[in-house]
Amino acid sequence: MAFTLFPYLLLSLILVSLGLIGILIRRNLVIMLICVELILNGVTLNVLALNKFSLGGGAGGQILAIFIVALAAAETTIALALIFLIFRHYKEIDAEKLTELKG
Amino acid sequence: MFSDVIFIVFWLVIAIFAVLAVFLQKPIYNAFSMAISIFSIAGLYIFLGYEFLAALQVLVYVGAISVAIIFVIMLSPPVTVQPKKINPYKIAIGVITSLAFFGVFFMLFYVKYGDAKFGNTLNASISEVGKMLATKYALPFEIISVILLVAILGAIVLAKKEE
Repeated sequence: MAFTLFPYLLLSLILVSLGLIGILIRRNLVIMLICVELILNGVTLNVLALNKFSLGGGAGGQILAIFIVALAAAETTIALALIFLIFRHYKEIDAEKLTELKG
Repeated sequence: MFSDVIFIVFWLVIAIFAVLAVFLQKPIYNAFSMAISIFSIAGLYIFLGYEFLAALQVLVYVGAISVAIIFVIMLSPPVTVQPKKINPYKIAIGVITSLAFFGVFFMLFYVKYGDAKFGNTLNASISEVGKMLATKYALPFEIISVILLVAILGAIVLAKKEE
């Protein structure tokens, strides 16, 4: 089972679906960011499993995974700074109540 | 046989803690569940033979991103007001969208890769990956470093207290 492709693809699909459902139904900005991290991890797992399957674990897929991790780090940094700013400004992080963006 | 048992344990830990990371109510529990789930994904990378990426996963996700998220949760003031119920209509839309996505891709993967097995070729070694990063993918590598620099500076500028 550890050497067949399907369990990896199923797990990455589960991670992406859970992240999607979390972004759509949770209203807390921090939890929405956590869901984005889950989606990125599912995507990386999918890339690496298919890289092993169809390219024999070549270098291209590994480099793509490294880039995904680096971009995820950059995205998280900016998102956390924005969440912190929203906290200080509005005193809450409920996405339903953040209806104005000016000032 | 034994590796199958370990694989199933990792698989289940990842799936269960991902569910907890989405559906628990207190943000700190969600953050820790996400950390455990992502840490176990590094185990699956070991199964696939990507040792360097497993180490990178632990360093970056567990060591940096999870800690940053937990820092922000701890720095934020406690949310005392009870969150109001969200519209059940919106929950239904979210569940239906996600299930439709899951169903379509599940069928695609099952039809296409239902009984596919990995060949037993060795993965590209990390020195090979390093050479590719320094020659063929040198430009994307530099662009990524600029993006990281801009993200760091942007985060500092955004979070700075206004005088």
